[in-house]
Amino acid sequence: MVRTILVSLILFSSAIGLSYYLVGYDKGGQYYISRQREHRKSLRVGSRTGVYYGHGPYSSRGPRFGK
Amino acid sequence: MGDNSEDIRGLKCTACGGDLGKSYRIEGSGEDAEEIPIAKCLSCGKEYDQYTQEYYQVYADMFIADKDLTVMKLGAKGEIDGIEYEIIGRIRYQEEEEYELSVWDEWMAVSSDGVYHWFVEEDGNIFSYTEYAPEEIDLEADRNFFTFEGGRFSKDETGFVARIVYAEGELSWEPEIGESVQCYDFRQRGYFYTIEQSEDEVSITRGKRVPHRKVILAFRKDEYLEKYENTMRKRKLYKKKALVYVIMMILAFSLTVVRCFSGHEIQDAVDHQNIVVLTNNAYRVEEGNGFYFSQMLFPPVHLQSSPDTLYEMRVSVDKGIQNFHLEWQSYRLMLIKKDKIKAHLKNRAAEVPQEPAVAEDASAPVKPKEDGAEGGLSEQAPAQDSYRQGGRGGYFSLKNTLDEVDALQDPIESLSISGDFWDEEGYDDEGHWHESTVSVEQDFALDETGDYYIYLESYSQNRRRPDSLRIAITDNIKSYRYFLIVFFVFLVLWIINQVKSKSYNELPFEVAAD
Repeated sequence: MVRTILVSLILFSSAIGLSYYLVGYDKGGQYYISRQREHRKSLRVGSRTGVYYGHGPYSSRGPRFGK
Repeated sequence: MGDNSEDIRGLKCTACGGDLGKSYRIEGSGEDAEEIPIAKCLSCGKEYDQYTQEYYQVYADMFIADKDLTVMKLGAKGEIDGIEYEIIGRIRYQEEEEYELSVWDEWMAVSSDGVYHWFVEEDGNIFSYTEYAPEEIDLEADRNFFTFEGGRFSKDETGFVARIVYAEGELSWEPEIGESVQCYDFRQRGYFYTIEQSEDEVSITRGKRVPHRKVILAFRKDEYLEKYENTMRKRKLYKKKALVYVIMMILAFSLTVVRCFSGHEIQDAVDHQNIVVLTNNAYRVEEGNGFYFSQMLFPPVHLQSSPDTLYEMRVSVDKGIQNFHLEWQSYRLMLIKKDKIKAHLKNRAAEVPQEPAVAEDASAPVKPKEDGAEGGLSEQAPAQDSYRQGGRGGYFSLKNTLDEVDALQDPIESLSISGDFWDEEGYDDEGHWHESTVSVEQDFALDETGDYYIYLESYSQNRRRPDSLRIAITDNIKSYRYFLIVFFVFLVLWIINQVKSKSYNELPFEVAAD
């Protein structure tokens, strides 16, 4: 029983923690900027960064510009 | 018809005297096709299904495969509620309607007071029956009903045909394998009743359920009592665990619901009247595919929620402004901090002072260019001075900056999100269908409050009016996805423990909850 209660509390706490820190959500600001900065370092000269547009008819073609 | 017939020596066909074997026939067709076991004459092919006595003789081994996995056993002696019993005989029945195994055992016992009893083992339950003489019974009261001590019972609902598939010990008659008997089982005033009706006789027994513990204590204490106690203890534990999980499920679900409805739309957060249109439906070709491209800049929105809460950005097609039919449109939206764009334009102006001006007077609204031209502004072009901060060349600075926004080594945007709208129709086996997505919602978080420009790029199959896209922002949204996930985890754990609380068993026979 103790193990069951412990498992339940861990699971529930995980949900609270993940929700509090917004894990898995799009995060703007410094997190986004530093990620993009790293990403753009690897771009070829003269190319444009790869942009992914979801999964629609246009975007289903995948990245517009290769890197 | 199956060919895998198996010869059963000694059983003869009533038509030709040939040997009978096991076989099957296919009933139904397609996905509903079922193999129904039958007995079949190996000579003339005559079939014997479960409504014939021969069938039970041919399949006798199947019906008795687990005959020793019972609580009772022949010759066992024990005391229940102060009365001593001795098991002297047994009959095993199979329900005729079922061609799969559906058996129960009726154990004949004689008590110390000389009365015959029947202990019935069925589906993990044990019942103790004795002969009963009712005050009133009429089996022919109606074609579909019979009456019994003031009660009226449906023959269809209570009746079934039982077939004897095994017998052993001293019984008051000599049963035959496959012999049938019409039975009616029902409950009345807390008792279980069984009426057995044959051509020339009706026998009625009345009984009550006897807990397994009592029976094991009476007849099989040494062999099974410890296992029985362990089984019950474990089942109780699983039940308690299930209770914990159900409490957690309720908690997780409640939080999911509460958080699901959190947040409120920031009224008039996005100014749709003063959009700056930087490019208006310019036709472009990329990788052999053409599309119309537009760039819009919305006036700054003030986002002030604390960093640990979520916003929801909803971008939708306003069909009232322009219909959206059998076409697609993709967008990319960027949030750019007001201070950042100002600083960037200032630096850029210093770097490229020779950029030509578009507007003669920077303070006057710039007229929109022709449709399809680069650099057109909306008719309601505001006195948005921020993009003109770079001086006379500010407009081009802004446009060039946004054209190359992906390539800037130091990103000016704080967030980029994208989505697609589509509208399609066609035909399938259910006829015409028409589906569309004209609204996309996306959650995001920001680590800094402040004023943000909304920069929007549109890629469309057809020309789209720049003002036909609507943007709404909701703040103070609480994340609920993880509570929903743990709700399902708790649900699975609850189901597992609930099943185990009923099915856990260390005993070789089925035991229902006592």
